[in-house]
Amino acid sequence: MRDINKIAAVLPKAEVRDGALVIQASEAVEVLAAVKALGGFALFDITCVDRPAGTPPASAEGAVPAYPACFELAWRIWDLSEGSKDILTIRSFIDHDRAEAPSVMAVWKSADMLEREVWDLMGIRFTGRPHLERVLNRADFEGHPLRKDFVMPKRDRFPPASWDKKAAEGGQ
Amino acid sequence: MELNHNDPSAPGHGSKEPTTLIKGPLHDGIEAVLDFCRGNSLWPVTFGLACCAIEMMSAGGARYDLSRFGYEVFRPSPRQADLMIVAGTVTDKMAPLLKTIYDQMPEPKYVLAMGGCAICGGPFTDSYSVVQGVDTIVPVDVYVPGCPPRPEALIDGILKIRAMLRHPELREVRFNA
Amino acid sequence: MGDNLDGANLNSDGFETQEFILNLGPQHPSTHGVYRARLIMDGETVVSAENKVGYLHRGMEKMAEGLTFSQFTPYTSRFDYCAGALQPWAYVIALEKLGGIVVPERAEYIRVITGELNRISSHLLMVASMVLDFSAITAWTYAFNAREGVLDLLEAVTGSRLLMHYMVNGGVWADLPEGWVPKAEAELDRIIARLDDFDMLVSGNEIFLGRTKGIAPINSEEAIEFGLTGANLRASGRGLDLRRDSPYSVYDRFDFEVPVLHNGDCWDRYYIRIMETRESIKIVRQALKQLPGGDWRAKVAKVWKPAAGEAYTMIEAARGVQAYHVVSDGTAKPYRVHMRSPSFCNIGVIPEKAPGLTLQDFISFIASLDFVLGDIDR
Repeated sequence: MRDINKIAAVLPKAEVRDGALVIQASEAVEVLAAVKALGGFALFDITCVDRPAGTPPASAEGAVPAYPACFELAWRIWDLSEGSKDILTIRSFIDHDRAEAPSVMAVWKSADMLEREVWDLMGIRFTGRPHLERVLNRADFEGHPLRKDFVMPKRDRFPPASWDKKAAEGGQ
Repeated sequence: MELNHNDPSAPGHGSKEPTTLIKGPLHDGIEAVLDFCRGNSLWPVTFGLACCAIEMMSAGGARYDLSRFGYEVFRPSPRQADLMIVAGTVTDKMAPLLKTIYDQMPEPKYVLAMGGCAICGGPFTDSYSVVQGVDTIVPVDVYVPGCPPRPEALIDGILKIRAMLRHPELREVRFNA
Repeated sequence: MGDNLDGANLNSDGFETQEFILNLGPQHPSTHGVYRARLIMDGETVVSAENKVGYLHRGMEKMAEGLTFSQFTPYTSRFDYCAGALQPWAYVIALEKLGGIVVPERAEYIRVITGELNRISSHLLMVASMVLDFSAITAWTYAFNAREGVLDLLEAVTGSRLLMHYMVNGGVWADLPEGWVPKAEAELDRIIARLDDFDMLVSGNEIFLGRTKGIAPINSEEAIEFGLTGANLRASGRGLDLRRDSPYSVYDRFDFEVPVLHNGDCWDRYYIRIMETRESIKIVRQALKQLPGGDWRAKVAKVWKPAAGEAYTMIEAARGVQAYHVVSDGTAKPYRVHMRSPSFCNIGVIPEKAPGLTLQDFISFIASLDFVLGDIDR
C-alpha cells in the first residue's frame, strides 16, 4: 500500500482521517482524476451507508469524530501497484436533504454500473451523467430500500389472514 | 360431421365446455390415451430463474439422466412446451413476464414449483421485492420443496405429474408419498 | 443513414435494412438466468446493447439488516449460487476482523480445500454452459460428469450439493468426515481425466474456434477501466490474483501458477478457466497433504456482538474479486452489509464491446464473461 499521507499531499482538497481520505463530495471528480493520474489505481467499488444522527460507530482502525446524520459515500480505489493490492478509501459525507454527488463516470467507466446501483438502492443522485435510472428494482418502485427510513411495502398474502385470527385469539 | 359455430343448435355452442366433436365415453377414452402419452413425454420450458436452475441442469445431465423418463426435451420457446418448471425466486420485476410465458404455453399445461422460493418465497419471503409463492400468479400442480431440491426430487416431482395424468382422480388427493 | 425517410439504409451488399429492437432475455436459454440485453440490431449486427438486470433482485442487503450476523451467513451462498461454498468467505473474514476472532489453522485449510473444489465446480459449470450455448450437448455432459465428481466430494463434507452453508464465523461448520482425504485424492485423478477429455473434445474444435477466436477482444487497459476482475481480467493479459498477490487465509503456503492469456477474446476467457481448474486441483492436493490436525472452529458466542466499526474485505471468488463491506453498530445485527459483486462490474463492459458483433457472436461474448444473475442482482 502506498503511503496515504503522500497521496494526500498531492491532493490539496483531501484530508486524512482514520486511514481514509475525506473530501467534499462536490470535488469528487477533481480528486479522483488526480488519483487516477498518479497511475496504478482503478475504481473498485462505491459504497454508501445511511448514517443516523449522533455518534457514528468507530471504524476498525480507530475512533472517528461525531458526524451529523448523513450518507457516507465512499469510493474504494484499488491500488494495483507492485506489491500492493490494497484499497484506498475516499470518503465524503452528504446531507440527507441534498443527496447528490457528481458522477465520476468520466474518470473511470466502471463507475457507470456502480453509481446506478447506489442511486437505485440508496437514492444518491449522481449529476452530470446519462442514464441514471434504476438498475435492480422496477422502474415504478417507490423509495430507496437501503435507506434507514424505507418502509417495507405491504404484502397482502403473507402472512395469511388466518394467522392474524389466531393471534387475535391469543394463540401462537 | 361439420361444425357450424354460428348455429345455436350446434354442439357446444354457448356452453362453457370446450367444443369437442366427440363426447361421452369415447372422448374420455381418447383423452385417457393422450394423457398417458403426455405423461411419458412432458416437454419443459427452460425457465431457470435462480439457484434451482443449476440443479435442473444437473437433472438433465448424464448422472441423473432425466431423459430416461422422456422429459429431457427442454424447449426454449414456451409455445412448444407443456410443463413449466419454476426453478428459483420469482421477483416482482419477473412476475409479469412469468405470467406472459405461462399464457403463451398451449393447453394442456402443468406447473411445477421447484424449491422454497417458488413455493412461498423461501428464505426471501420477508424481502421487499420477492413474490411470496408462484401460486399467487399461476396455478401450481406439484410443489417440490428444498433449497435447492436435489435432482432426484425434481424427477420425483415430474413423475408425480405423470401419476396425476394417468389417474386424474389424484388431483383431488394430496400426495403423501 | 440513407436518404430513405423510413430510416432504412443500404448495407454493403446492397440490401435495404432497417434497425430494430431485439430483447434478448430475460427468458432465453443463452442468457444464463434472467439477464436481459436490449439490443438495437441492424440485420444480424448489433448496433448498440444495453444491460437490463434486476429480474432476480431479492433485496438481500436489506434483509441482512434484520438478521443477526451469523443468520445472514447462509444467505451469502445465494449470491453467486454456482460457487456456494466460496461465497461466505469474504463475509466471514469481515466478521472475524470485526470481532477479532482467530481462526484455527485446520479450519483455514478446510476452507481452502472446499473453496478450491467449489471453484473447480464453478469453472466446469461455466465451460459447460458456454458450450451448451453453441449447442454442444455432448461436451456439456462431459463437463457435468466431471462436475458431479466434485459435488460428491463437497456433499460428503458440507451435506449439500449447491448452496453449501459451510464456512461460518470462526471456522467451518463441521470437520472433514472420516476417510474423506484418501477418497478425495483418488477422485481428483478422475476429475483430471474427465477434464482432459473435455479439453480434448472442445478446445481445438474447429466450430468452437470459429465461434470464439478473435471475438470481442478486451485489452488490459480496457479491462481495468471497466473494473473487470478475476479470470476475465487474467485473460486480457493482466495477471492479477489475490490468492497470490495479497494472500488471505493460508494461500501463501501453496505453490501454484496464475495463468495469464493475452488476447482477451472469448476463447482466452474460456481456456483460462480450464487452466485455472488445473491449478485449483494442484492447490487442493497440496492442502490435503499439509492438512494439520486440531480444532476446526473457534469458540464464538451464540449471541455474538462485535465492536462497533466497519470492515472491508476481499477475496478471489470464482467470478472475480468479491468484497464485503460490513458495518456494525455494536448490536447483534449488522448495520449495513454491502457486497461488491464481480459479475455486476463485469457486465459493464457489454455495452462497450457489443456494437459490431453479430448476434451469435454476442451470445459467445456474454457466455465467456461468465456472470451469474444471483451475483448481479443480489
